[in-house]
Amino acid sequence: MRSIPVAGHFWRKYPLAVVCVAWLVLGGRSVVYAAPPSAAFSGFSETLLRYYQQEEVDRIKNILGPIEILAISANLPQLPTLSFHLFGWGQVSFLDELQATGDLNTAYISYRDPKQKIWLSVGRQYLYQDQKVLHFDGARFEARLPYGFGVRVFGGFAVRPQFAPSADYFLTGVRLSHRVGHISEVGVTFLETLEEGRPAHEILGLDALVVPFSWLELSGSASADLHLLTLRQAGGRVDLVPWKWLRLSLGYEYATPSAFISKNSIFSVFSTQAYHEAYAQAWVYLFGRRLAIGADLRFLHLPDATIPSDETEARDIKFPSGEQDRIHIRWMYLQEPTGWLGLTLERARETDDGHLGVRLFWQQQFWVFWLALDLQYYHYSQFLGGMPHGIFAALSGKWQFAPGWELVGSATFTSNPFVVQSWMGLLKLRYTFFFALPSAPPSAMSAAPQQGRLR
Amino acid sequence: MQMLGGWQKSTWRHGIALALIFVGWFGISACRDYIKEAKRKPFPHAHHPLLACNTCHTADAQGQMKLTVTVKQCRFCHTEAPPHQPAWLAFVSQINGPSGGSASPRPIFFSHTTHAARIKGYGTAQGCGTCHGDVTSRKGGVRTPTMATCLSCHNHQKDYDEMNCKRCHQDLRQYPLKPLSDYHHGPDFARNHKRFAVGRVDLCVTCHDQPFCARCHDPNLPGKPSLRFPTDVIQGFIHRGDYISRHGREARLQPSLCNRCHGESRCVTCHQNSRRSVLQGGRTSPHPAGYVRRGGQAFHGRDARRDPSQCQSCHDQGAKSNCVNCHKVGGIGGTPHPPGWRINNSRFQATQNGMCRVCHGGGR
Repeated sequence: MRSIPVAGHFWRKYPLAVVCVAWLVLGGRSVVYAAPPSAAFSGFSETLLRYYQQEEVDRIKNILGPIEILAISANLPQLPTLSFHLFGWGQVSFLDELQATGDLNTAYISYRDPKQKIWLSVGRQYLYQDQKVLHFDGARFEARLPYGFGVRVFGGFAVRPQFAPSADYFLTGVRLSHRVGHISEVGVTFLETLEEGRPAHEILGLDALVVPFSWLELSGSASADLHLLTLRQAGGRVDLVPWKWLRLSLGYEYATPSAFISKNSIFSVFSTQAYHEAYAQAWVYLFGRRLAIGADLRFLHLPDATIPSDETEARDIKFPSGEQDRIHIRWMYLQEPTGWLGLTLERARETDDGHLGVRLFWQQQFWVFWLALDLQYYHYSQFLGGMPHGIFAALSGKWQFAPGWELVGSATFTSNPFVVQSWMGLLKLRYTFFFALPSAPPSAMSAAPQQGRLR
Repeated sequence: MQMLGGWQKSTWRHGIALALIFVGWFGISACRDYIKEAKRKPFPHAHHPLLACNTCHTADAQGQMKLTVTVKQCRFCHTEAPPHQPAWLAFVSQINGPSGGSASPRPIFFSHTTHAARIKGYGTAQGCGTCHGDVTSRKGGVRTPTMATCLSCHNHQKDYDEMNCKRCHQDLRQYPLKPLSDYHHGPDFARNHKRFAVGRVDLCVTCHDQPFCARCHDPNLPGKPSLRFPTDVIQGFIHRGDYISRHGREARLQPSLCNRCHGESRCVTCHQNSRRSVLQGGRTSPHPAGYVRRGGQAFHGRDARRDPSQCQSCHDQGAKSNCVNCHKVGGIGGTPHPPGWRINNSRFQATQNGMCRVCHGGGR
């Protein structure tokens, strides 16, 4: 029993050292479950039970809502070139509000030939194009041509949430690209959107990602509206990795508001104002990338603008140039493979407003248990009719109680100028599954080399 | 006071004892698997130097060599061993390993059959040792050869360079992920991954399918990602923490960021449901007082001309926008057309543009 007072003595005298030693000794013990020999269906199911408070004008509303999220990917060993992917969710809310919602986000069949030169996917899917994530019901075809050339053709109806009709908004496009090595690629894209059968946008875009040396990455993109003959956006970024422990990034982005406004919008006629945004990032990795220290500085500039008088304004309106800047300083310690400790300082300033934020986050795995703590504090220099402080605290835990099964619990507290105070509790049961078809013969693995899979 | 001090001291000790028990339990639990693995005895191949490998590792119906051994095979020689003896069964279970001795614990396209004709001495210790190492030594060979072993004969350098893993690996998603720092995914990768998503989608799908994208990119999924993945605090989701009180500022600091994912209807729906709009008289309206009054310092017309994308993020419902109610010729807001409008915009456009047709229906 002598050990208890000794431990107490050390705890009293060196509490930080005791915590650090306990963390280093006990942390990072992970359990890796053996993967099944083969799988036809894989995916995950998440069942969330969420309780939260939502403030309305005269009362605080309590909402209890189970959410079910299901993702399935089918890769049949008999048909290794075909795969099917689905992601959908549904939610029912109880207590003060009763409503049911749901959506099918992704559901597509994909074909990739054995040499991976042709890729065809049909169904509801995503496509990252023209600086925007396109979400559409349609088809996409990609082919890798000789000498590194590639072509992508896509078209479909834009997805509206909750199964709303989307027949009035059609998009189609083509992209030609040239690839050198396994990263560098240059592409030209033409994207047209039709609204009620009439062209709403015709956009020509350029994008490039070039890695000439292992220590240098160059990337950039630009797009122009062919209808208005204006540059919508342009940007470039340079990443330098002079040593393994240092990564420097410099970037610039130019955008016009019309780039994000539908041509059919009343706002499309207003301004030709442009944003100029420059940013610089630096990351330092130490101790085998276990410790990462990063700084991120963003600077947004709105140039001088003058709006001449017209029917609505009796005199010219002059806007002085405006600046907004944001500084992020992040410090992270990674105890591989499963522990994180981080501190983030954030300062954002506008011409007449701004905020200062501090975030501390910690995550650690203990055998099959995870603990996570997230503390955030923001101080606002101005706020409309509210208090200038915002606090967020979250304590979470995860328990991997069986292969593929996880139970997550989380409690968060928020205090901010809008909500004043609110609580949220989350209980999540996640099951990651791999199912093999009973009829799948074990020879499926041996049949592959006979199809020329191994050279 | 003395009693209180004593009580506090005792409680302090009890607390430490409980903490130590708790920590000790974690430590023991953490070491359990390592101890288990360390105690697991591999099959003493060194004691069976005269046996060919396929004496015990027989082929199945498809010609695949089985890693599994059974008591029956042992009893060919060890006839004196009593059948179904628990210790014997435990030993066989132990050498088969935690995966049950399945033919291939790693899902790769591989066939022993096709290698049989190409490897000299296949079925003998020397032949199997080509990939599995010296199984007859006391140290033992390797149960699952490394990828470097495969690449010593097969030229997959091009596939490796192109991250074309699926030529050999059936499903990489079944592997536990290595730490993030092992990959190209640096600490700021979540914010910058669009650079790769434009052109190198085939690189991404090596490990991720689109349902993986949907977990964060579905803007209507209830609960933001940082709340649904509370233990992944490191990922630095955009909407982390108390984002609701910052979203207006964030939208101003990076004006284009919101509209890339969220349609304008999301703003309207949320603000109307929570009654935070000018028309509904919410006490925390996003607009300052006098925002609709012409001539005031906070008049909305200036914001609209200076930064129309901000207005549009909430107030643009296409041709049915509420702006047209005021901003029309003869309306309280006057004409929305800036000077030079007639010169720069042809009559043809008025017939093609849905917004124009609200007032200029029929190309007037």
